[in-house]
Amino acid sequence: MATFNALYSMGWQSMTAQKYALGVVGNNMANAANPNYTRQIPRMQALMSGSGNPGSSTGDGVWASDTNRAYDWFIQQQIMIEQGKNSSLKSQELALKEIDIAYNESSEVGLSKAMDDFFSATEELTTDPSNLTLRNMFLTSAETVAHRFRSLATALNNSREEMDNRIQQSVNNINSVTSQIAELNKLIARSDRNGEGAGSLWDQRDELISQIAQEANVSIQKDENGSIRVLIGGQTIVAEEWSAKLATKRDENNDGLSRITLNDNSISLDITDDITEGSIGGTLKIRDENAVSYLESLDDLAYTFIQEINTIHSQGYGLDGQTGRNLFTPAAIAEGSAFSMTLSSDLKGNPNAVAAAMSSSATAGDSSNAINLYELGNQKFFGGTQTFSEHYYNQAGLVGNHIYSSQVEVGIQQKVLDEVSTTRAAISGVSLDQESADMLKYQTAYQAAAKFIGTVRELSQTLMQLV
Amino acid sequence: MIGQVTFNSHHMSMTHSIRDATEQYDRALLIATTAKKVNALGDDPSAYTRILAGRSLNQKLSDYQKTAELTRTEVDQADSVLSTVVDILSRAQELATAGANESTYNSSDRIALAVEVNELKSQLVMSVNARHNGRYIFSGTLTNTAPYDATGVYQGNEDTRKVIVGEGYSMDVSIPGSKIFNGTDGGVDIFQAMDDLYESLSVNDLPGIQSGLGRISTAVSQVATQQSLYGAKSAELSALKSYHETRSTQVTSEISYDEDADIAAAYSDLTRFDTVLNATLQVAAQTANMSLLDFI
Repeated sequence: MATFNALYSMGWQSMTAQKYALGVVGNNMANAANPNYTRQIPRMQALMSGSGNPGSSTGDGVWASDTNRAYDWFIQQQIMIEQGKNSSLKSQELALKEIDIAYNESSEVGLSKAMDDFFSATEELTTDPSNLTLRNMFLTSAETVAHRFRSLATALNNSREEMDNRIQQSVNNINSVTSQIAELNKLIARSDRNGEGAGSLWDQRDELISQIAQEANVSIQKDENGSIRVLIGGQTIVAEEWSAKLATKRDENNDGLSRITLNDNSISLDITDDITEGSIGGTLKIRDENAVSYLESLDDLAYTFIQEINTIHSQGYGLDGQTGRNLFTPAAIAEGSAFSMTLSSDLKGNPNAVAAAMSSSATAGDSSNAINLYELGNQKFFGGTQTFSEHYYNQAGLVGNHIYSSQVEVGIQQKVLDEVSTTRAAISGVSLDQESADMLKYQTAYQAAAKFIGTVRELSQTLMQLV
Repeated sequence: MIGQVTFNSHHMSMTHSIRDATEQYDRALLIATTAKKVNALGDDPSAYTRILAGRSLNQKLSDYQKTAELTRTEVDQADSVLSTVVDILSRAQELATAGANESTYNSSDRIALAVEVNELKSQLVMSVNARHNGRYIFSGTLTNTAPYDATGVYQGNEDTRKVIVGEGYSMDVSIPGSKIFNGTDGGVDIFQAMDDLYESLSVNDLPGIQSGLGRISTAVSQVATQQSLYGAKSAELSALKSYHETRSTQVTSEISYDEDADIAAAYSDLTRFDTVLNATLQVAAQTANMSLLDFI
C-alpha cells in the first residue's frame, strides 16, 4: 500500500515529467523551421513499484528519462548520396553553361559567323581582286577568324581555371568541417557514456556531413560509441576524434590545374580519381573530360584551317608579284593552334600581299587563287568527312547535347532529391499540429498530477482530523 | 509521402511546387519575349546546328546574289559595248559597200570614205577600251591596262576573269579582247581589217575594197556572236540570282521553323503557366496559415 509520502512523490514526479515533456515540445516547436533539426520525442517511463514498498502493485508513477530522435539512418544515407549526385550534376550544368556562353553563337558573333564572313570576303575579293578595299576586308575577316579561335580557346581555358578555383573552394569547404565532425564525434561519445542527450549534436554532425556530401561522394559508417566514420571516395577522412585534411597540388601534366590529396602528417594520398560525385566530382568531369575534348576539337579545326588555307595561299601571288607567303602563322602541332592563331607577319597590314592571283604576270584581275581559297570552304577535310563549318557545327552540337543532357538529368535528380528530402522532413521534421496536441496532452497531464497532489493533501487532512 | 506532414515537409513541398511553376513560367516568358524557341545551344542542339548551317548557307546565297547582280551589270555593259562595235562595223560595211561601187564613186570620193573609216577605227578603239567600276572589260585579267593602244594593238592577255556565282560554280566573266576583236581563234582582226579598208579606199584599190568589205562583214558577225555570248551570260546571271533568292527564302523558312516560336502558342503557354504560378502561390500562402494553434 502506498504511503502519503509515496503518493506526494508520485504526483510531484508526474508534474516534473510533464514539465520535461512540455520542454521537449517547446524545443520541437522552436525548431519547426530548422531544416536540419530532428524532432525529439520525450521518453516517458512508468516507474515500477518496489522501491521500499514491498507488496505494492500499483507502480510509482512516471519518469521522463530522456528523448528519442525521430531519425531514419537509411533516409539520412540516401539524402547524402542524392545530394552528391545533385551537386555533381548541377556543377556540370553550371560549367557547361559557362562554356555555352564562350561559344556565344546565339548572338551571331561566334566562330561560325567569323568563318562565314571570311569566305564571304574571299568570294567578294574574286569580283575585283586588285581592289584594295576588298583586300583589306579579306585580311580583316581573316584576323577576325584568328581572333575568334583565340577567344574561344581562351574562354575554354579560363573556364577550366574557374572550375579549378571552384574545386579548390570545395576542398576548403570540406577542410573547414572535418575537424568539427571529429570534435562532435568526441562530444557525442562522451554524452552517450554519461547518458546525456546529444540530439542537437547529432543534428549538427549530420548537417556537417551533408555539407561534405555536396562537395564529394561521401559514405558514412556508424561506430559503437556513437561516432561516425566519414569516407570520401572510399578513403577515411574522419574516424572518431581523428580527421585528415584535403589539399590541392598543381598537376604540370594538366596545365597546372589541381589534383586533390588526402593528407595526414607526412602521408599524402592522391584521391582525385576516387572523387566521382559532388560538386568536385562533377566539376572534375567537365574540367578534365568535356572541356579538354572541346579544346582538342577546336585545336584540330584551327590546325587544319591554318594548314589548308596556308597551302593554297602560299601557292598564289600578291599584287607585288611575290609568292610563297602564308596567310596565318603556321602551327607546328595541333595542340594550342587555336590559342595562338594569328595572321602571319607577311600579311599583316599588307593587302598587296593577299595572294588572289595564280600568276605573277596578271595579278590585277586574276582571282584564280582567291577562288581556290573560297572553294576550301566547301571541301571536306578531317578524313574527308566534314567541311570546316560542319566540323564546328558538330562540335557546337556536341556541347549543346551535353548541356541539354545535363539540364534533363538535373531536373530528374532534383525531383529525386526533393522526394528524399521531403521524406526526411516528414520523418524527422516537426508538425506544429502534432506538437500543439502534445502540448495540450502534457498540460492536461500536468494539471491532473497537480490535482492529484491536492487530492492526496485532502486525504491527509481528513486523516489528521480523525486524530 | 511517408508519415506525417510536418512544418518543414509542407514548406519543402510548397517551395518545390513554386520553384517548378516559376521555372515553367520563366521558360514560357523567355520564348514569348524573344519569339524564339531556341535561345541557347542546350535548348535544342540538333535544331541549333541546323540554324547555324542555315545562317551560313543564307550568307553564301546572299553573296552569290550580290555577285550575280554586280557581274550582270558588267556583262550588260560589255554587251552594250559590243552592240556599239557592231554599229561602228556596220557603218564601215556601208562605207565599204559604197566604195566598192565602181560607177557611183570616184577616187576622191573614196578618199573621203577612207577618212570616215579612219574615224570609225578611232571610235572602235575608244569603245573597246571601256571600263566597268574602273576595270577594263576586254583586257583579260590585266584589268588595269587598257586593252588597245591608239593604233589598235592589243595590250591585254588571253586569260579570263572569273567570279563565284554559285556553290562550286565560278563563271568566266570576261572574254579577252584579242578573241573578240583580233580573231585569235581563227577569225578576223577587225582593226587590221579597218586599216586595210582605209588603205584600199585611200589608194582607190577596188579589189582591196571588195576584199575589205568581205572581212568587215565577217567581223560584224564575229562580234555579234560574242555579243550573244554576253547576252546568254546576262540571262544566266539573272536566272542564278532568282534561283539564289528563292533558295534563300526557303532556307530562311527552314531556319524560322527551327528557331522561331509559334507566337500564339507562346502567349497561350505564358498565360497558362502564369495561372499555375499564381494558383501555387495562393495555395502556399493560404495553407501556411492553417494551424491547430489558432484553435487552442
